[in-house]
Amino acid sequence: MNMKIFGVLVCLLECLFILSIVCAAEDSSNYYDKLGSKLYTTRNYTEALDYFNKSLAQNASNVDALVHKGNTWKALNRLNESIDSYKKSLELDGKKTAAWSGLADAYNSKKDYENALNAAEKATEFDKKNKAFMLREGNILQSQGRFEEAAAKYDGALSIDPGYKDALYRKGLSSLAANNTTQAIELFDSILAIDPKHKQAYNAKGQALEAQGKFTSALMAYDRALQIDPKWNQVLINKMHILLAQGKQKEAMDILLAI
Amino acid sequence: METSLSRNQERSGGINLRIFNLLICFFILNSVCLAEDTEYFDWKGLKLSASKNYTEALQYFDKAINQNGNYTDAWIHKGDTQRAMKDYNASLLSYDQALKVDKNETAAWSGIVEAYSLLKKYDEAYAAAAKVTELDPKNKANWLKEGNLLQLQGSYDKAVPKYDGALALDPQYKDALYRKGISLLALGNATSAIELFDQVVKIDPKYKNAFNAKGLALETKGLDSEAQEAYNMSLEIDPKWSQPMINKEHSLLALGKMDEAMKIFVVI
Repeated sequence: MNMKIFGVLVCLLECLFILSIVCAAEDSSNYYDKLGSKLYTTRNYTEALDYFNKSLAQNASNVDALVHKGNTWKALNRLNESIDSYKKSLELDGKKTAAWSGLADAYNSKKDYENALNAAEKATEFDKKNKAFMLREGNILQSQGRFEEAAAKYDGALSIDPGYKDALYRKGLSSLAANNTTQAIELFDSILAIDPKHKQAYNAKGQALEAQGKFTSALMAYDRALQIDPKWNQVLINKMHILLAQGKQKEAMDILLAI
Repeated sequence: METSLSRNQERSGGINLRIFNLLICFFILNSVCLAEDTEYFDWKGLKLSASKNYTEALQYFDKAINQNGNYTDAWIHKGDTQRAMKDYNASLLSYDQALKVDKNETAAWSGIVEAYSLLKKYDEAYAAAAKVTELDPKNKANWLKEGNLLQLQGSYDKAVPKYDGALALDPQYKDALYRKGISLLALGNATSAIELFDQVVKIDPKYKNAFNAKGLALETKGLDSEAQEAYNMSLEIDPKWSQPMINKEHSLLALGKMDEAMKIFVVI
């Protein structure tokens, strides 16, 4: 009997020992992951990677460390390595939103818009209330020239936050692509009512006004954008085109030579 | 007795003469060595400047100048080095020192042109550039420089004869043809500008700026489709150049091709 109790005790102790080892490994894995994340935020990417690797050496199933490693590779513009890391994390947890999100961004940076969109859709699927995820879906669609589909995504983002400037701006671009310049101008104006320093909205408004043939108003819009950012080349070139259209070739050439 | 005395005197006179000759030789040798030192210091400074070790380079130029304040090369090289260090006002002072020694030193005038250009004082830069052309009128680049500085001041009409001066020396001078085209475009003569841009791309089919400027000239004539083609040519040469990409977007806007225009807009 005593021997039986002793055996059970030994078994329990063994279990406890194994459990404590596992816990210790998990603890140190999380600890290294935290250290790596700290280094990542200070842009010390190479050292951060070392810590994520240490973390994964302790616990190869640490999903967070894999995601963070993917983010770090992405920051280093090593997109293939970054994608590999995200994929590994998704093999362990297919619902890891941060991994889908990172994957979408990595594919987007590679201009692989189809895979980027698939990953972005997955991220939205697991976090339906995230307006930024919807915006990203729309932006990827716009990069593919799918402006109408993109508009629906921006509407989704705006249903969560009607004052979401980025979604209003991008929806305005979709309206412009659909030749609905009036709606586009309304959207750009609504952004400027929220944020009068939104230079992109002034620039895009200039484009819409230019498309309407309203060159003086377009010029004013470009000038407002240039007041905010005097060195923004895109707007300078846009302004140059208005000046050309107004027959002010000399002023246009002044810009051409200055850019 | 007398003869031995006169012999002694002759001998001592000969020794004095030898010593005197030796002293002269030593003086000449010393002067040569000093001159060689000046050249050496300047050469050493140039080497250091070329390897972007500007602070040390300046020390060597100063050594050269300390030995011979009239050594214009060292002043000019010092000015060039100060310019590389973005100390433009100091560089102007160095060039000025060189010109005090030799007012016709072209390299010093050229340095002044560059320093004033970097200070965006185009008026002063132009005055110096005109002096360079006056001293070296057979150099087409000098004429081009003058024209470009006039363009930067918005004097497109005055720039034309400068480009003509360069083209008189080399009718195939593509940079002068291009810049003359810009002047004509600014002066409202798009047709002649297009002819010049066409000449440039005939000489050099890879001259992306000429295709881009041709597009702008065509745009002023309302020829948006042709303008778009010109921008496409420019983009074939340099697909990542944003300027013709934005220009193309505008020609698409003008053609009412909003969808295509926005496809460009979102990727710029």
